Amino acid sequence: MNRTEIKQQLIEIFSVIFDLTDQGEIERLEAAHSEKWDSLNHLNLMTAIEQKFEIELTPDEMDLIHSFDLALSVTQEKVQEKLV
Amino acid sequence: MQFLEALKYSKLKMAGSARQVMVLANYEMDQLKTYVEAYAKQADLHWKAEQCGYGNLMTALMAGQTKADYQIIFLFLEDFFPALSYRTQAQWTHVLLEDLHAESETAVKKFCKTIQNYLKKCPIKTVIVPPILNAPPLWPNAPVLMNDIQNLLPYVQAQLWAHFKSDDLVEILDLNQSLSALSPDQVRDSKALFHKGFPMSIEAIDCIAADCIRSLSGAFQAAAKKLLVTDLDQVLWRGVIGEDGIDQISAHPDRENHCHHVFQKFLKLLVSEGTLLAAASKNNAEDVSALLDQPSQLKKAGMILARNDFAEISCQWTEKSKQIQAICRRLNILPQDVVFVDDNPMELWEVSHHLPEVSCVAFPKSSSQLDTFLKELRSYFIKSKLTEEDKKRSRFYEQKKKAEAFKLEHANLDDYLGSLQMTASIEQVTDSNQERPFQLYNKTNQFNLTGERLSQAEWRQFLEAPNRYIFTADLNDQFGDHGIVAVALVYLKEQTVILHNLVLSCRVFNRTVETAFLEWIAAQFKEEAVTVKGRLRHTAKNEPCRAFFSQHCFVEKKEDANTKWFEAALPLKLPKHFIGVQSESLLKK
Repeated sequence: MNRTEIKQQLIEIFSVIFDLTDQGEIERLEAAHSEKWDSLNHLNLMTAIEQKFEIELTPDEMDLIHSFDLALSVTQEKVQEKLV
Repeated sequence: MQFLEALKYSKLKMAGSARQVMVLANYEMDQLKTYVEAYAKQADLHWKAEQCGYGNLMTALMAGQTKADYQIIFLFLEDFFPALSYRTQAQWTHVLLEDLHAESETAVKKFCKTIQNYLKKCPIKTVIVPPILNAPPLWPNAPVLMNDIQNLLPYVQAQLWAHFKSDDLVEILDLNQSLSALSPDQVRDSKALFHKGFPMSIEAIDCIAADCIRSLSGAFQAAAKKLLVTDLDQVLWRGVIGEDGIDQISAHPDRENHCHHVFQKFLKLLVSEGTLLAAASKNNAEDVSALLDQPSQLKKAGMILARNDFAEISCQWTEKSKQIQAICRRLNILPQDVVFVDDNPMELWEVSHHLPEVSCVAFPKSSSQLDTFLKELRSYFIKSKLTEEDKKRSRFYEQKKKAEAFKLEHANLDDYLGSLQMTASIEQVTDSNQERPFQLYNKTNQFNLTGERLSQAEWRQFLEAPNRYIFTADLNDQFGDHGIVAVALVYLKEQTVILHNLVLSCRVFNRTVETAFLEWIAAQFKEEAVTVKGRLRHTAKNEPCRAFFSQHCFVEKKEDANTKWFEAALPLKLPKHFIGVQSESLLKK
């Protein structure tokens, strides 16, 4: 799975969890600047990412993901780890 | 269902107000709520899930109040033994663990009693999710003590079962079944405990939520078929009775007859659970009678089933589809409630072609297919709980058969109905006698004036409202007690009695019960009311009751959106009925 594919799937996950339809808005999303990114949606996001990509995020990685960009880089790293 | 899909479902908009499902648990239930709403919406149910509040299980149980329509009580071992929880201040000392084990019996019974008291105050449909995870690893320096603590789990499960197995509103989820696709390691999720406040994996939550919805929505009950029609030769027994002769047929439990023997055992079990059994066979009726009516022949052939296990036996040379239609007519059963078993593919094709609503199942050719065959059959007859009514159902149909035979001896219908010596006991439904009427009301399709279904909360709301009444009629005749056969919901508005709805069991159609019931209801309000009004809403299945109002001299007044309103002045001019009525005086509200 390459970065583009991971990104497309993450966009779908973010779209469902944060009720967003605009791709640009999703890609710019940051926890600090979004009321929708609360603790419950954060947990839902982690669960959805883990299940969709069949990866297990560590507590540190979960804490690290507080924007779409970071979600993409952490997920991509974990997916590549899984393939090695 | 993947979690993302569950989220999508849970966010779907549905029309109308949602019914509430309250989740009572000490752990964080947000993701369970998502799955509960998702599975409900997938089943076209507009349900909203709420939680009593993290860590507030005991507070909610003690408060004993709910506005919910349904509830899920999700239990963990730590709820019974708070000292085992990571979250309490209790110190894990060796002494504490020894004490905990010594007092476990009292603690478990006390907690079960607390739940019981709560359910008495909040009697709505409830699913109890019993503890499935063992105690958290406490690492005591004594393997024997750890073993004792681990043994608490089966003890708690057994106590829950003992306390709630006879409560009709409660179902204890069979987690061994619900989680059968997951290994124990896939159920517990220690990381989730610290990060989500819930110690189980998302896959386990998914399975449990699906079963909670199946149970709460009554999907099993609704889906359960009512009648199994079986072929005889080479199915119920090995051999062809008309060709091989009665002495050559066999259902003994030996290698060649294994499938037939086990099938009969399975059918006997279904009959004991309230499923009706019938036979449709291309045979001479005398040949079959020579076997089924003779105890010595039954024994010789190794038969488990006898004549009285069958509600109907049809032995004719006509098509099986016609035989099944005739059986359905005699038993007042709809074809969609029937499962048909035959070994002949042509017969199965013929039935499925002419009666596509009937579920057809092929009898296995060898014992290697038996397990799959029985699993498929079982899936048609799953009931979440057996009621007393289920256990007596075969007896009711036995009475019906006797009454049918008796009918043939009488010159006309009036003569026959009069000779049945029927008596109806009419009662007003109160808190203490509402379970069976609620069940009958919600499962009756054919004689149901509006087709209405009520949730437990709506039923209670009706029951408790001023000037609103629910009545039941229990019918007795010379063949025995038929149990509760009719339910009416009635209210008084100004000077009019409104018949909100009336349902009648299909076992007692054409007995004039509905006339006697209506007469009694009208008489209760003769001082306050001058007219009676009622409504008829056509459903796909309520053909048998569409003439009810016109037969009872009501006049159609208006029609709106699939509902016709009828009205008649008091005193009603009713046709003759044949029921003697007994009743207590009405408790006016």
